[in-house]
Amino acid sequence: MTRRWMPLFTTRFASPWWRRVALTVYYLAVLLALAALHGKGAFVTPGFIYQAF
Amino acid sequence: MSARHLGPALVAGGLFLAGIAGFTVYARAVERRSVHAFAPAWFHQKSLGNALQREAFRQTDLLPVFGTSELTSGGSYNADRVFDDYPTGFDMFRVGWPGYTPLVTTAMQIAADCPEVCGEKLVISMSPLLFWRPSGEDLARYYAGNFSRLQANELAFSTCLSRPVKQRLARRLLVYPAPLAADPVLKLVLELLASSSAPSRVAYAALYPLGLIRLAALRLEDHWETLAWIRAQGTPRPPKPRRPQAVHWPEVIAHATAIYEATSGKNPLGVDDDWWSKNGAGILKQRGRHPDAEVGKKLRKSPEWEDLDLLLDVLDELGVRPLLMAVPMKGAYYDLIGVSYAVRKQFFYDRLAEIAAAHHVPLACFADHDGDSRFTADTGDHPSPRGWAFYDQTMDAFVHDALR
Repeated sequence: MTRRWMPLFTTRFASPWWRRVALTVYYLAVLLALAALHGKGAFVTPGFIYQAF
Repeated sequence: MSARHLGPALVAGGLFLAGIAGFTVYARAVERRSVHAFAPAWFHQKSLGNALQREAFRQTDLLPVFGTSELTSGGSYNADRVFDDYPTGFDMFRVGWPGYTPLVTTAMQIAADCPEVCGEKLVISMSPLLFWRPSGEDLARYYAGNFSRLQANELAFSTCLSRPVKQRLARRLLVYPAPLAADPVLKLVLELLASSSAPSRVAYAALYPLGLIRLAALRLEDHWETLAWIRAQGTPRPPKPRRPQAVHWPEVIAHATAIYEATSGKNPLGVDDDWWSKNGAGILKQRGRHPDAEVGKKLRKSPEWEDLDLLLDVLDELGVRPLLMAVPMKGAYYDLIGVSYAVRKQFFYDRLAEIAAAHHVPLACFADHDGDSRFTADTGDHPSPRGWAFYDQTMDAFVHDALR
């Protein structure tokens, strides 16, 4: 399987254009992962028992 | 970073920022379309976040009302039903959460609505119980349950408030340290704000850019959570047809009173009969349990007076035109538990009037309804249909500059 895909990757990444696209996608994925990891939970508050007085 | 990586990294950063901008535009469009439908909605993100609140302040036909559970009682005489079809040109936009919410929380909520809130009208609704019943621990627990990192960061980095007011707010927020444990940067910024030293000012200025980035991230999360809530409600109901008509308030009040009298005639306090059947025995056991000396002292020393003063300072700096409303104390209940009218008047009604007058804001605390046992439907400061009819009338007069 790996052997079959390797030539394809080698050929593609030999092209500067493809390499730039792959790196862009990689950095975008890193940014999105960071946003997903740190961009939630700010509005979680400890629950309290509401006493209806 | 090598030149080979720099280009793709910059492009990825640009695409990411473009995505954020696109999402924000989309979120604001959805919020704008939904704000009227969800004006009466009661969900925590609405009070913890500011996305919908800001949108409400952009609308000329919504009156934001900040309060707690008293905003949900009153049945068909609650403002969310009475003004539902905009009979006099506006509807209530309800913000709040049940429980004893310290007023500094309200100050944070509103300060975080800047600049949209500037120059706008709003109503603050208060419950007398907040000024004497909860212990310090209760207040800390309810504060933590209503604490918003977004709003605290908004006020910490606000350009709408002067440094002295931000300093007072920061000092008040530091009284409740528990919620700040999750945000050490915010805690540090509040400590810097609370201090008057020159190095603190320099350190605050140095942290300011970081604060803006954090604020941008928190605002995005607010949009995300608000959108998630809106989506979870399914297809929003179509806008209700607006029916402008003159409201004859004495008739509304008489009708609400008649309806409520039919369900509150079988108990000595004028509370809802169903409520009394569940809670009456417990209430009667409180007879004489809270003497004047105890409640008078608690009322006099309540931290909420300082919070109210701070809140009104915040509103003043923002140029907000507020109406202060308070549910009247239920005289029959207070007489039963041992609190005399003299104490109620001196330490609650008069004090409220004093603070409101000092800040030149209109006040409707319904002191003349202290002996009106049918204003509230229980002993927890929840207005009955009759009480809400008076609330509605007052809000309507406020919106149309006809308060007397």
